[in-house]
Amino acid sequence: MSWFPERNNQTWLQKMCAGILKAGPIPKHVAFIMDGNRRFATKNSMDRAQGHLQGFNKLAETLEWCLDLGISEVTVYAFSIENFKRSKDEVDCLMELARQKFSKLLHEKEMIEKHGICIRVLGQLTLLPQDIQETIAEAVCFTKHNTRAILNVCFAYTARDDICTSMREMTNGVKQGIIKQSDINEELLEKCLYTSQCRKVDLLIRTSGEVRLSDFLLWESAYTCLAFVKVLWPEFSIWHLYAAVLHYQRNSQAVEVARQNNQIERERLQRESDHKCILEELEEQMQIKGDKSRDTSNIQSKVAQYAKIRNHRVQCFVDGLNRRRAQYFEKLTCNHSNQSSES
Amino acid sequence: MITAIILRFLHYVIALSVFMHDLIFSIPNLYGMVYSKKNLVASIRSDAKLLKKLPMHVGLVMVENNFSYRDIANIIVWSVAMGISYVSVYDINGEIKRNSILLQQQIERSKEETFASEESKFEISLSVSNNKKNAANNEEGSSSKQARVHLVAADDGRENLVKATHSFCELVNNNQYLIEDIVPSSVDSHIQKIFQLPDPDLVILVGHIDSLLGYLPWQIRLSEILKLPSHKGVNYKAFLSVMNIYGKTEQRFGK
Repeated sequence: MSWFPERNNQTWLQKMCAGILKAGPIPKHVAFIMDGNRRFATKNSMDRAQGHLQGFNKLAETLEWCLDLGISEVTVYAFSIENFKRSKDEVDCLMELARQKFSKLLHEKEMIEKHGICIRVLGQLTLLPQDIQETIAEAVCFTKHNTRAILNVCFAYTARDDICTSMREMTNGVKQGIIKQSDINEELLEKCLYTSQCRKVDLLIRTSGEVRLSDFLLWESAYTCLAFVKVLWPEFSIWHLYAAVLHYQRNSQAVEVARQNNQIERERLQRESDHKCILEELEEQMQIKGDKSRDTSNIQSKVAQYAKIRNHRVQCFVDGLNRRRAQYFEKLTCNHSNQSSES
Repeated sequence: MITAIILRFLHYVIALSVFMHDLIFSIPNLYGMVYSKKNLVASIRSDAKLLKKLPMHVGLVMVENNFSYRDIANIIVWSVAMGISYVSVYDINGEIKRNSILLQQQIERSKEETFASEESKFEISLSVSNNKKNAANNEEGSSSKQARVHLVAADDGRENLVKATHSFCELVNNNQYLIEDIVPSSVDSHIQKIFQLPDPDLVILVGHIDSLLGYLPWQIRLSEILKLPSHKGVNYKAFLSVMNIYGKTEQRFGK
């Protein structure tokens, strides 16, 4: 089945409900844990591969529902690093599915352009077989300029791994002298995550009645509305999506207030840190000059000046990181096209 | 325009049905008197034995305003009576953390009442995170069974990961650590060392907001997230029903 299934025209009832929902706040970014493919397969006595395929088809369908509703960004948990621990057969089967679906995507370039879809793949891609990395890279590079709808596929991803990657990047930045240790804060940590390009996650839906995050978007889901749905993923219907959006509308205000308070707290911490850095600088100068009178005049303007420099420094670091990550994909694409032309 | 009205109406209906549901939920309060104060401990113990599994660490995420310390204390004491060794209480603004003395008093009082008939009393020690001294004192502990209550706020969540990065930075700068060694397992043991708590097996969202609101992002990886409608006037039955749901859950760890 393709990424763009034949449009099932929605019934008047569905259209009406969508219209009503749209009168309220609609989440802009929804994350899915697509759980229950294997249980679905067992329940309907199919083999596992069939179950996973059904799961993919459901994803294609769900993306369309989301787009119709005005949800412009979707993140899905496709494959966790923990999943490598499953039986070899099953891992192979999932890899094969990914291989097929990503190359299928490259054959549907027209449709992607038409819908303006941008695809990002987040995770430790180097753990994957080389050919899948290359196909993914091509899909990512080919769609990166699109902005109308965004699909983030978390592949070989766990949130803890993501956080650690971010920590390593920052530590490395400090070691190389690009940033200072005092520049490390929540905001920077966030900017070094794989999800740095994504907007905030408004709603997280997990199917199959499990009530865990299972190492998915741990950092990002701090201020996210959670919806746990009882059905298995292949049974997920448009009504479940509508119910989840309704659930989001009930929670969105309180969550938003909490998020804004957190933002204010962050800014306060930032100002405090800038102030402290300036004081330390002055202290040092005093010791060098042997001056005893502390120059505390216009400290505010000094702090402002420092904040400006710090912003610039951090921006350079983040830009460098993003460039490096983009280059990884570009390099793989080159490999891929070279190989194709040789063969 | 008309859709907006319908939507608002719909939300009223949902709010009303949730309210009714909670009301029915709290009715056992009336015949909950069956648990007379004398044998409450005994019934909690026998209930705990019937559960398939018991969490080691329960995280109470308070997503409600206006706290009733007495009710929070009750939940803590019930948890401890069940045999749970660690309880963490979170509220995003750190209000509970600041009022730890108040909570401590209420815990003592609730303990007196619940364990009235008991000879061997439980030791419930309260500690405020980021306070290593306190934690050290607790470890000297007496011979009686101990349970630890940890009060956490937003700055113990994401901010703590930032602090961890700072300490890794220092270690790397002093050549005591390799950047490549910053991996989930090492970061985890670092954080465990600071908190001295196992990861919560069960997180209970207490209130009507379905969000973690910044509760320990690193530690909730495998926590079951369940809900309790409110802590105000909460009865033992409502708490037990959450524990029953937890007892039935299974984990497959990605396999």
